[in-house]
Amino acid sequence: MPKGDYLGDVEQLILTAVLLLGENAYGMTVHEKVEELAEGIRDVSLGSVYTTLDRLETKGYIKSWFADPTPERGGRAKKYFKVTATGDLAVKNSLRVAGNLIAGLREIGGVA
Amino acid sequence: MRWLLPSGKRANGNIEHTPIDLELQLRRQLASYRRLRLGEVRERITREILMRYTEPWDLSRAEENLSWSIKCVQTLHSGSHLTGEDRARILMGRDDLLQYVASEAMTGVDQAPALAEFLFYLFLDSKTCDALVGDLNQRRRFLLQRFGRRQANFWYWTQALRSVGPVAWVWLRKLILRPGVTLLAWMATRGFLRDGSLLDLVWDWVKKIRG
Repeated sequence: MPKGDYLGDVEQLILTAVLLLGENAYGMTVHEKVEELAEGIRDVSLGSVYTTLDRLETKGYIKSWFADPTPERGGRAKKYFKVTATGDLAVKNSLRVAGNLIAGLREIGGVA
Repeated sequence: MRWLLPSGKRANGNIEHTPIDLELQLRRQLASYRRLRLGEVRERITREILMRYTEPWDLSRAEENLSWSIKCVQTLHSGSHLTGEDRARILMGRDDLLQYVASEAMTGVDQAPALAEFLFYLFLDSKTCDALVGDLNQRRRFLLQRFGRRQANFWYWTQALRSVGPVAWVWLRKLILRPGVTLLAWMATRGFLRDGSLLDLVWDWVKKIRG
């Protein structure tokens, strides 16, 4: 991963949520998953989810497409998201760094 | 009635309708009405009613149809399914469709707050905006069924106001960034960024003052 391509905490959360949701990743489900993952730690609005998803797409970490409009959404289409190979690698790298941090803290007894 | 004819399934050249087909068709119809201007909808409905209900006995039937239609619209909008009896009645009389779709469009039953939606249209492209508003509508419909309209609208407004901040900030950054990059490119082509240029002299002067 080139220098400067590190994921921010919200980016990491959202990318992980999209990965976990698989085929069913669209705005609202991603938002719900993020709330579930960061419960009591981080509060992310639906607008933040969309702007972050847009940024991740610009970086090439995810791709998106629109489904057909559905009546229960007032005739509006869902925007689905999927993690690309680059995005997958970015998440793995982020998790590896987090893992190293945890391991380091465990060595000095900082984390149970 | 051309614009209200359900598509249904085709078998042996004839159009057939199952209750589920019909309900899907109705939901789609309701959704398309939301996009029409109210004046236009009212004009259409008035025209259709004048064409259909010309006899005195027809007027009482129209009234009864209207109240039943409103009930059906409210059922569909709360996310519930129609009863078998209602479905059968719709299948029997096609003009009932007109009544309850019309009543929904004219009274604006259970519509999401339009001003909250508009906030997103200011800062997002239309497709992404539709997706975001669709997400909010989907969730609002669930809350409407569970807690009622006031709570659902309160939630909708809260989400809209919380979400519009980040969206507006990104829009503003893009707005500033683009002219900034253009200005820098223009300055570079005009030689304003070279060594010994006016800008370079100003920069040296600033450094001297700060030093």
